[in-house]
Amino acid sequence: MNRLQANLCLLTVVICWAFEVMLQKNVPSYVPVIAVMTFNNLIGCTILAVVFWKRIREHLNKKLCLSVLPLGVLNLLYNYLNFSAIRYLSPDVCTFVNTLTVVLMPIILFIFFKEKLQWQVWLGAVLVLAGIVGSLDLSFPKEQTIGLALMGAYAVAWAVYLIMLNKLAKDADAITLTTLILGTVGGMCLIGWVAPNPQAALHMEYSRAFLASAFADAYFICVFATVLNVYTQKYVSSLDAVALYSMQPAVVLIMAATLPPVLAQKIGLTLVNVGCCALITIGAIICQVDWDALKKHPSGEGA
Amino acid sequence: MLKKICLRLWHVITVPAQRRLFFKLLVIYLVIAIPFKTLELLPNLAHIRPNSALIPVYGFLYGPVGAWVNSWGSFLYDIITNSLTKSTVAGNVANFIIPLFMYYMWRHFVGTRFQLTCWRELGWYCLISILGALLKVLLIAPVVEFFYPSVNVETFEIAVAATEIVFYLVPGIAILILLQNMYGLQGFDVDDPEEATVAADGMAEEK
Repeated sequence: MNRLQANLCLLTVVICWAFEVMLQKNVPSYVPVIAVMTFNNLIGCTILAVVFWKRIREHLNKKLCLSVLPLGVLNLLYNYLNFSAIRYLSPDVCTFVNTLTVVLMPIILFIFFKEKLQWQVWLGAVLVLAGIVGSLDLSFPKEQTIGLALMGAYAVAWAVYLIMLNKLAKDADAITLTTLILGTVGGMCLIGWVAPNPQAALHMEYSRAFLASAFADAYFICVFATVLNVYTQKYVSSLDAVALYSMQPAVVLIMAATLPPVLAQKIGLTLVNVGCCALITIGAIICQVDWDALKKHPSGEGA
Repeated sequence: MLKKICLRLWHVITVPAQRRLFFKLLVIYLVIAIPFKTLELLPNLAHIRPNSALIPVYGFLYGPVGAWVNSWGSFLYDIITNSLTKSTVAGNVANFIIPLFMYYMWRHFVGTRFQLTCWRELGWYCLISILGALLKVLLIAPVVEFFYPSVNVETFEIAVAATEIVFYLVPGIAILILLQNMYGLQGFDVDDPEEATVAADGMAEEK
């Protein structure tokens, strides 16, 4: 897989995530978030286990299972924090603040992993931060501050998750790793959902719309996007991946402007939003470009 | 080349190995399609079918087998989900023609086995996908207009073109890259002597 292919795959992952909103619209409001996560992850895990059983059995080992446990915990944690933050922030702000990871990732890599980063990465991170700040209500109402704190925690959890996933995915089989992650997250969600109130799970109405949405989400997001994401990690650094993920506001804005409402997330096409989105996208591109290769091949072949 | 493609289309019916591949791909098609039944684009007429992504995937990787699968898969999906309409046949014809059209265009303009490794190939893929989506609209919209005069054809055309282009480009590209990298699948080649021998052997075996 070359750089172009890896970038296309990661961009597809971002677009799939943006489409998830459309699938979630079909989930009845009485279904708790943890139930949705349980079903999506366990269905995804089952599909992969059934289809690729032979391959998974070949690659499965105790070390890999143990390595996946912290990933599962982090996955659950960042999803929980993200869902919680959404309650306090408007969809527009939420879309932009989601990219905070691209700002935090270089800091984490620099402080905890002693990685030397090019100055362009820092410039990109500053531009992304400017885009995020531009989208905020600068009078800092209480709700926004709580939402931002949760988003900050989410971004840290996600950054650590991605760094760990990136390292693990270099050696592990993508399908086995994805199946284990989905199984771990699904299992933990199941315990969190059923243990406090087993009656709730038994008496919940499993409508066709909910089950169809759970299957659709399992196929598209849990299986397809996650396998694609994990497989591509072999060929990119965690920082490159995060920079690509930061294209999400641009993807959401383009989708809102061009697609029918059934396919797109509602986001205001205001001048402020477009400006913030431009800053974030430019910052992400600056982070993502391979500057050394670009210097060697000014025509852009290396980028 | 058209003659060879027609011959390969015939092989799908007559050669056991090709038939087995057909059924395998058909099952995958249906398993992916059915859960999305609830996502309606235009009530009672157009659903969101992520299987549209399989049109380029099956077309470029499996050629004629892919064309048969897309057509039959779409037809069986309509039957299973009780979505048969008067325009179903037009949809099936479109789903049969478009994978072949895409393969033909790629061979004609790019000239190599299908792969997406550089900007040039990506550009051609995007162009061919957009043309394929427009061709689909051209094949289906007149039939819908004829049988359902109350439907706003313009909205229908935009909805079909938009969803087709989105699915050809977004999951389509990634699925192709993933399959070619993960499983080493090569693009279909109508001139491949090995594939032709397998087909011919299969026919001889059957006789």
